[in-house]
Formats: sequence, structure tokens, C-alpha cells
Amino acid sequence: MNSVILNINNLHAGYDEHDVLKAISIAIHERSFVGIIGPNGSGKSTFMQVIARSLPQRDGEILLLGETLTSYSFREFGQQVGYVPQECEIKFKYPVYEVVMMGRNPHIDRFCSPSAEDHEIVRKALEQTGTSDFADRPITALSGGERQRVMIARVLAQDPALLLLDEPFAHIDIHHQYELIRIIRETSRGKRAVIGVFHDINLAAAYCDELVLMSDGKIRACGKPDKVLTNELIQEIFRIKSVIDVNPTTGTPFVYVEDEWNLPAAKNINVHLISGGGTGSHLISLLVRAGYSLKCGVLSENDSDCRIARKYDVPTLVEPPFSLLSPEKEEQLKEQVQDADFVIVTAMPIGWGNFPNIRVLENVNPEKIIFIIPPEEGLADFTSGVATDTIKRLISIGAHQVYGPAELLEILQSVTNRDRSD
Amino acid sequence: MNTIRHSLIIVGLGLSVVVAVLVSVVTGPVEISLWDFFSGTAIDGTERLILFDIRLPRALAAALVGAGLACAGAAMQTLFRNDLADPYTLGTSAGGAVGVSLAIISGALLLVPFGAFFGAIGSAFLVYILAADRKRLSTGNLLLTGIAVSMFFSSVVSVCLVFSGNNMHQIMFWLMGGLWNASWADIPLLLITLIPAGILILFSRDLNIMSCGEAETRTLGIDPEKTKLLLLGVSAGITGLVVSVSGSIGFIGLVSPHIMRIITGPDHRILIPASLGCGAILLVCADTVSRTWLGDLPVGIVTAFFGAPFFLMLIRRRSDL
Repeated sequence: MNSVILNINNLHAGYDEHDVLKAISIAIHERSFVGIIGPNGSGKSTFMQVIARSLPQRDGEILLLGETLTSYSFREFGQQVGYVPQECEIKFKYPVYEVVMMGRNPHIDRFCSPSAEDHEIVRKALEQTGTSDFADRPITALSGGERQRVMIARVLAQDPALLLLDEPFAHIDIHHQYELIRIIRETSRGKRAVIGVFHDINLAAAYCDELVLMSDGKIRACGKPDKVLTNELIQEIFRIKSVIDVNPTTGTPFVYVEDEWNLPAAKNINVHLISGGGTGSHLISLLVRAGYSLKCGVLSENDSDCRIARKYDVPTLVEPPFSLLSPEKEEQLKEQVQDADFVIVTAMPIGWGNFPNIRVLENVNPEKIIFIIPPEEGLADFTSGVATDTIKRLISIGAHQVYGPAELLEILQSVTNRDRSD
Repeated sequence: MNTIRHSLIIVGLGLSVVVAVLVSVVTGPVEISLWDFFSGTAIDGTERLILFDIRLPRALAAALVGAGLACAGAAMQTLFRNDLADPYTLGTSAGGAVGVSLAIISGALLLVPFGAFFGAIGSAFLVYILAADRKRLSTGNLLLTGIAVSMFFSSVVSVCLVFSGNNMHQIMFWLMGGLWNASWADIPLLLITLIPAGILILFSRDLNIMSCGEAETRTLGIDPEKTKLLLLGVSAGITGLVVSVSGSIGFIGLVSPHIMRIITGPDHRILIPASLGCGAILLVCADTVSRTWLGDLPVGIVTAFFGAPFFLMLIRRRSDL
């Protein structure tokens, strides 16, 4: 087990009469990158302020490397704890190099100038953050992203055991966010711990070793991202309709927020969706939430559309992975599409394996069929044009062709309304 | 590279101070030519007296007073995070005036420096405490508090004047701010101010960090409250000592750091020494002008004449007032 850098027991702190932080207890180990997430007003920033000694604690105990926080002189404190603010506030024209050198201040004696070693450390920090090129430029002349990089360079030059980041990326574009968080993650691999407050849950989940979920001044959950980011907690604390998936590039949890459509209830309208290769995923979630009674298929077992359909408990015709569509399934499909009020077909790739999905449409009233195929784009057709010809023919005899979900819903609703007025 | 640039600035300013003092010494209503001064010939006893016992100590006193006010101003602008702060606008000088008036009417002339010293420090902390609203100092708040405290102290001084009897003209002269009384006897006291000025230079890295924002000072190894109190005390102390000699002289402390920041940039390691030099040059020049061509008008009037428009310009440039 890595040694403990920060140990907090039953911490209370706040402003005026009421406590913002209530009974916080947590231990932060070296070589860990801990992300604090939570809604506005949950006490994240207050928590950081208490550790940075900007706000006094009211009760409880904070141990930094085994000693109480207040037993440190500020000089000793500055040797162990570094802080990166939300935004660089420097309004004077200090050269970037001097700003980074300020990080060495707790290490330099009052009666001394920076040593050769200090200069070396500053140069390294500038290099690490890619700020060497503007070392001589005044900090006020840099862009927001560049300034924040300088703030990170300063804290790297400070070389603290505990690094605090208070929403460091609030004002930075996505490119610099990822660039900086990688630098920070790397520094947490040394004999050091990093605590950062983040608004972007997915960024925190992808890069932090541990997440701390705060709400109303308390720690609600704490641990590996996939343990903390559960649907129940996220929905309750952030008050969003979340969907938790996996970030395909990092394997970490990824929180989506469901799009909400205001549709009149569309019960008793049977819709069959023919899709594949992920082209139908968003339609499945949309149609289910809109209240249509949906069926899907035929889909391959390993298709991402199939996974989403299962998630929403949509009755689906399924074939094992990479197998041809069997005659029995085709029969079942034929029945289902004939029963359905609408059959929706997405711009999925079509090969001989799933061609029966298209072939069955020949037996359906073409006015029930809606192709979501942008006309100018054409299909990924691997049937030497047979599938495309079939679709074109169906459209020529009355099947709808639309661009996207908005138009699709329009058609579905116009029919719904007409039925009602009948 | 920076070190060379800094050394050049310091050497240049140092030489300029020397030149300013020399020019001041040979300038005045009684004309003594530069040549005579340096060759040592043709100088009679009166001229010698004028040069070495009147003009030289006065020029040196002007240099030291200007230097002291300027470095106090530079530090106060950073401590209050406000570029309109200086010993005059914050009422520190007015506090010194109360101390001096009290010392004069009590008849203890030896206590004048102490009265100025403690009056100035007391007033600086009074403004700091009154203006600090939950740790945040807004410019408007600060200046208004400074004005209010100044007015309060002026009324105290007026009361002192009423009850001062024979000492009234002494207080009046002192209040207008001038150096006509400066003599060799004042120089040791003024030299003492170089010690607190040295303390400010020792804390210049701390001042740099404090000028960069409140949030990170603690994690960069500085106790902001203690440092602020210490350096505020030091700056007010300098102010008290110099005004005990010169009376309250405005705007030198405001203008000098601003001029120097243009040349040196914001780094206090160079800004404070440079402000010392700049303040010295400005006050020596202002005093020379006033005694040579303006009938020995109190130099405080001369500095206010040029300083007040500068102050207005700074106010207009700000938007957060």
C-alpha cells in the first residue's frame, strides 16, 4: 500500500453560521489522482479551500504527512502543498519565467537568490508543460490556455507532495484540457498525490484513479470511477436522466444525458425498426421514451443496436454473431413487419447476410415504410446494388424517405393525429 | 540578462540622484557657479555656509524623504492591491500629522518623530481594518475610508491648532509640508528609514507573489495576514519618520512607483530600489524648483500641483471604482 499523504477525519468547515462541509473523512494516498465531482454548491471548492488553508476548519482533523495542517509554518506548507486556481489572476506583466520561479519560493531562503538548481527545475517545468517558447513573454500577453499551462508549470516547479487543482479547466478549450490533464496524471505517478475538482465527469472518470462524489457537503461515494458512477447516484445527485456507457477509448464509465422529447403519448402504435451497425441505437431510445410500442430485428447478437434494444427491453429478433439470417427468422420478421403500423429502416450497411431484412419489405404496404436515408449519401451496399434497387423501387411506389429523427417523428405523429380525428 | 538590465537601472538611478543633489546644491537665489564650487576658489564664508550647511543637508533630506515616501507607496500599492494607494491618499500622512501636532502642543519637540511614527502606523492600520470588508478591499471602499480617516485626523489637527497658542505657526508650517527647516540634525533620523526600506526589499519576492493573487499565497509559502501586517507597519513607519521632518508631502509615493513600473516592470526586487531613486530625484527637483523660482513655496504644494492631475488620470483609467 502506498503511504498516506492526506488524512481527513470528520472535517467540518463553512462560512457564517452554517457548515458547508459536514463530517468529511477521507484518506489520500501517494501516486493517486483523485477527482472530486458534484453539483454546484456541493462543497467541492470549500473542501479545496480548507486543504489549501484559505478557510479554517471548524472541527475534525486534517493530517498532512502525519502532522496536523496547522502545525506547518506556511513556508513548510508551501513545500508540501501546491495549488492551481481556476484561472490565472495575474494582472501585472511578470515574465512567464518569473511566474514559474515563484513556485520555488517556499524552497528559497529569504536572504538568498534562486540557485542554479532552482533555475534548472524551472526550465524543466517549462519544458514539461510546453511553455519554454514563451518564457520571456509577459504572462498578461498569453491566451487563457497558455496561462493555465504556466500555472501548472509553476506548481510542477514547486514540486509538492500534494497538488490541488480547483476546476483548473473551467476556462480552457478541449484540446488544452486533455493536454494538461495528461501532464497532471503523469506527475501523480511520482511520490505525490493529486486532488482535482472537475465539472466534466467524463474527463474525471477517464483520468482519475479514484472519484469522490460530493453532495450537500458530504461525501456520497468514493472509489474507482466505475464504482462511483452508478445510474442511481448520478440521477439522484445531479438530477439528470443519465445513461452510463463505457468510453471506448479508455474503458472507463461514460455518462450520457438522455435527450428529452416532448411527445404526445403514442401508445398502441406498433413500430418495427430494421437497423444494424449502431445506426438505430438513438432511435431505439427515442422511440421507446416517446411511447411507441417498438420491436427490432433482425439483429446480430454482437451488434451495438442489439445491446441498446436489450437495455430498453425491446422485443428483438436476434441471430448469433456473423451468421446468415435463417429462413425461420425471416418468416417471423415477415409476420412482424406485416403487423406493424410502421416499419423504419435505417441507413445500415447491407450485405447478403442481412439482405432478407430488406427483402421482406416487398410484402408490406409501401406507405408504412420509412427509410431514414439521406438521399445524397446512398447506402453502404455490399449486394452489388440489389439492395439499393429494392429500396429505390419501394420509394417510387410510396415509401417515405427522410433525413433524420425529427422528420421521422413528424410522419409518425401526423398519422397518430389523423387516426385520432377519425 | 535581467540581472544586467536591473544593475544598469540601479546604477543609472543612483548616478541621477547624485547629479540631482549636486545641481540642487548649486542652484538657488544666491548664484554660485558650478566651476567655483568644484575648484574651491573664490568661495567666501557665506557661500560656504549656504552650500554646505543649508543647501546640501536640505537636498539630502529631500532625497531621503522622497525615497522613503516612494518605497512606502510602492509597497502599499501592492499590499492593498490597489494602484491608487500611497501614504497620502490612505491618510497615513494625516495620522502622522496628528502625532506631530500632539507632540508640538505638549511642548515635547523631541517627541515629534515618535508622534509622527506612531500616528502614521495607527492611521494605516485603522484604514486597513475599516476598509477591509470580509478580506476584500475594493478601490472605492479603500479611497473613501482613506478620505474619511484623513478628514477625521484633519479635524483633530484643527483642534490641536486652536489649543496650540504660541506653537500654532510651527504646526501650520509643518502641515504645509516643506523642507526649509531641514538641517544636518535631521539626516541621521532620515538615514534610519533606509533600514525599513531594506526590509521591504528583503520581502520583495513575497510582494511579487502577493501581487499575483490572493488564492495561492499560502501554498507558495507566505502567511498573507502576517506579511501584510508586518509590511504595512514597515511602510507606515517609513512614512511616519520622513513626515516628521518634512511634513506631509503628497503624491511622491503615488507617482514614483507608477513611473518606475513602466521602466522596470512589476518585479519588486527591482521596483522598490528603483522607486527609492525615483522618489529621491523627484523631490529634490521639486524642492529646488520651489526654493529657487517660487519663493520657497512649501514643496507639498508643488508636488500636489503636478501629482493631483496624475492621480485623476489613474482614476479615469480604472473601471472598477
